[in-house]
Amino acid sequence: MTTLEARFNNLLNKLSAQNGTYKAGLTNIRCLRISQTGSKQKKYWSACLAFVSQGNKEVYTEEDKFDIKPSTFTVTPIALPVVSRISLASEKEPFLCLLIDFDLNIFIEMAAKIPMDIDTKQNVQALFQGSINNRLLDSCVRLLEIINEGELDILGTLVVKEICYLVLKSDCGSQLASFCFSGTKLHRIYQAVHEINTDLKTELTVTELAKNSGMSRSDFFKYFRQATSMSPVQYRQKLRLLEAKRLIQENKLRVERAAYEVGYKSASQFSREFSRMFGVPPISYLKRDM
Amino acid sequence: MNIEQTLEKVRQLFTINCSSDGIYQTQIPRVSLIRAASVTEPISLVHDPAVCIVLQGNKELVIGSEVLRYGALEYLVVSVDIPITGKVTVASHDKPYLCFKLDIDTNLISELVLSNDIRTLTKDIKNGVGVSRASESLIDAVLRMLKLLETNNKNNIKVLAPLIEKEILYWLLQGEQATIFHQIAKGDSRLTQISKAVAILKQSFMKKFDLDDLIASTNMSPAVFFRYFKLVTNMTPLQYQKKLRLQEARKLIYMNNVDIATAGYHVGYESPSQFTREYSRFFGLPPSKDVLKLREGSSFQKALL
Repeated sequence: MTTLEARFNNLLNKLSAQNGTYKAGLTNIRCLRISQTGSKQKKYWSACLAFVSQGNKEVYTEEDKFDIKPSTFTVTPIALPVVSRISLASEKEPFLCLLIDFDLNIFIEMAAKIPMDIDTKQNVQALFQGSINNRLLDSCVRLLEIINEGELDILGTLVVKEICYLVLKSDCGSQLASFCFSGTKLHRIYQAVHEINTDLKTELTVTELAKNSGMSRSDFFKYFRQATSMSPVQYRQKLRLLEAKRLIQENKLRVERAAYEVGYKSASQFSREFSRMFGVPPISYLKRDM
Repeated sequence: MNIEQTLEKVRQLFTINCSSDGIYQTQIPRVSLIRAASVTEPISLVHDPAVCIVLQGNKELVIGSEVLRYGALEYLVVSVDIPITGKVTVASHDKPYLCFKLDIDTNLISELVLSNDIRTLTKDIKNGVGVSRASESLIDAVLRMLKLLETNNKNNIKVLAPLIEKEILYWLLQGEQATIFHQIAKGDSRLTQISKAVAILKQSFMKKFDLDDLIASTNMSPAVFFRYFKLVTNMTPLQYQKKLRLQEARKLIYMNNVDIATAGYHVGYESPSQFTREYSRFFGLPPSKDVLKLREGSSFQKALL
């Protein structure tokens, strides 16, 4: 480790003192710490920028495998249902990760100020990686120092913007830029996903979603699949079931209640789809932690 | 890095960006770099609202009857346009006087102060000028600003410079001169009223002015007005006006080659002898000799005129 890498690691280690997620005073920043490896699980990967200082997490989308590890950072403009596992971590050297919630507005504002190339060659997905350089690492360290020293949010917000700028200028900048300009296909998909995410309950049809984003139904399908590797209906279903699982596991909601909260009208249909996705019926998650 | 190492880096970058004496206006809005490789004669000018962070050398300022001395790792805050006389007192070829100047954008400061969580101070009005020690964080932010100049990438400057500028102001608002910045931010404060009066004086210093009108424009009672005007500028309105007139006259004679009587008349003196008398008292020499001396003077001094 270089001195800078070591400082980043030490700060993350300090701020995420207990297993789990430490939420900094800045509401959009989390420090993640996991001290043991695990088996593959279906998870919700939120829209964020992720910087790892130690350990490794494998993330599988429908089509690809990504290593969330030091030396690269990971950008997810759109929250994704994924399969993931911690593949490298121990008590002594836990998996440590800085997560910054993805805020497209910051990028849009910046992309408007500077000349940006949009990646049109490859099929840009909603999960991609860039390589960390010292400038980026330096900004991350400064962000953690600000949090550590209890400085005010204003200062943290400035550094977050700086990080966003460096990400936009990095080797994955053109992929990110594909989401930043209104009118581009991926920007429209981003908006549609946002619509689905903010209101899981409402059952908008694909035709309605396509119409709202100003795309033909076939284009909408095509680009939705390009970004997320799944269809809009699959995407919504997975998000619903993951959210229901969280409600049952963390909030101890009754199964029927959880099903209703995420938009299912039939509890039996919910149980059936839940079991198919997670391999066990929803009730088992309620019992498991008791 | 400790503060000495940071400072050393700052000095290096400074020398790269600003290789000769004078004021160097950078590509970054509101940021200029000042350098003087030798001590200077006293220089009189109207200082605009700005923060001057000294990185090497020493400087002495006279405002009204007050003398301020400051040096490396100290910063000067000037909150209103104010006539000052200043000189660099410590500087050499190897260790030139270096100063990072940031002009104050009132809107930015208001935005920062109003953004909820910066602590608000309710102390009484202070002098419009102050000197304090710079914190390590402040110098670090200055360093990053200078790094932007070094890379000279227009896009980086466009996006990152405003962020660093805000950070610099943030640290200043956390510093000892916070009160001055809060006064700048609060639109309705007495400082603002005095600033308005100063602006009126600046616009019309060549004419005779009606003091009662000036006071009336600030919505203050004459007693309060005089007290605060003096507190902020260290001068009475008449002294202030006189300084502006004499400095303008000096500029006319030196830069535009206007003859002495005309210059005096132009800035509002009806009697040439009174003009010469007051000029001599203010600049130490009668106009003809003073301008001769200026012509021989340092490029730094000329740059400041």
